[in-house]
Amino acid sequence: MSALAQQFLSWLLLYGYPIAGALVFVGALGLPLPTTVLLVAAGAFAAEGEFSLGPLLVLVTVCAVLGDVTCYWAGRWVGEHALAQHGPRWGLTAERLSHACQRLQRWGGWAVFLTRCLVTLLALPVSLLAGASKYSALRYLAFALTGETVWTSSYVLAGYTFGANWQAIEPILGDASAFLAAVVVTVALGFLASRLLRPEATTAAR
Amino acid sequence: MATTRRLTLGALGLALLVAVAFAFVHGWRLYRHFTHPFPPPRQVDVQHIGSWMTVGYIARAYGVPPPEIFRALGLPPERNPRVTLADLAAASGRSPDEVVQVVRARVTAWQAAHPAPRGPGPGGRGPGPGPPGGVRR
Repeated sequence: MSALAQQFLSWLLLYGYPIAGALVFVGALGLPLPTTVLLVAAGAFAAEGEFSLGPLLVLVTVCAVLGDVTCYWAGRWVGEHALAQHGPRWGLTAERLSHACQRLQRWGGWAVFLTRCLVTLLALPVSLLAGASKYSALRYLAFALTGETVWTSSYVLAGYTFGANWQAIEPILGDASAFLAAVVVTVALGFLASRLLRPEATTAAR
Repeated sequence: MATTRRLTLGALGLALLVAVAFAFVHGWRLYRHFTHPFPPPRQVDVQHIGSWMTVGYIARAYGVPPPEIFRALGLPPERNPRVTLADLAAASGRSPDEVVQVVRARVTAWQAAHPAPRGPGPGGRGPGPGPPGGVRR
């Protein structure tokens, strides 16, 4: 376990709910914090009476969703202008952006849900893109809430179940989440590749 | 246009290969985890005690009164247990590892002298054999 994670675990034990909420919120903003470890540990601490399970689950889920919503609105307020001004420099032309926005309107719900609970590394870019493309705020909120509820409750309840032995299951949870994320990414990339290889796509490219 | 498409397909193929390799590595590790005995829920192992833990948490998780831990460290027993072992080590000029070793030894001795009752107790700790080098309460 990293020194940073150990410091955060100490803070969790010393300061309780406020630090749990703050760390999950900051993690949801895209900062590389060991939030999954913290959620498992918080669940284990709840099993030992340091937290109450219900309020802990509600708090971390709400804070994670608040972080997501902040990113969404950042994308909505800043993203559109920034993409229009600087996007072409990185190959994001108006045409490509419009195409990406159409895709997001169609698949956005799944993208938001899966990047909250499985492919969490992509949560920030999906939130920013959802905001910049003016994806429905209510739909975004609904999918983010569902995804975050799955994510927080899985880890917190795993920690609660294993209690003081949570450190023994941490590597198992790490491998399980990495495996599931890799499967989702593989399926998504395979789907994209199959669309690109379709005869009409080949003809259009010529 | 065709070149761009070829490049996109190449990048996509490469990303797909990386994703499959990643899935295979973690899938294999996951399989290995499941072919070994699964960690029993709520089993406590003194080897998990770390310097980031507070005395209060160790006391609750391992069933040892806080004064016992403070006494083992040569400190007044009526201190506030909301203090980490790392902070105690820094205050006493000892290394965190040394403090952790002392606490592990005291917890092991306390648990040997005060075995937990059989059957599910408060917090759901059940009976059963402990792991090598560990103690189950």
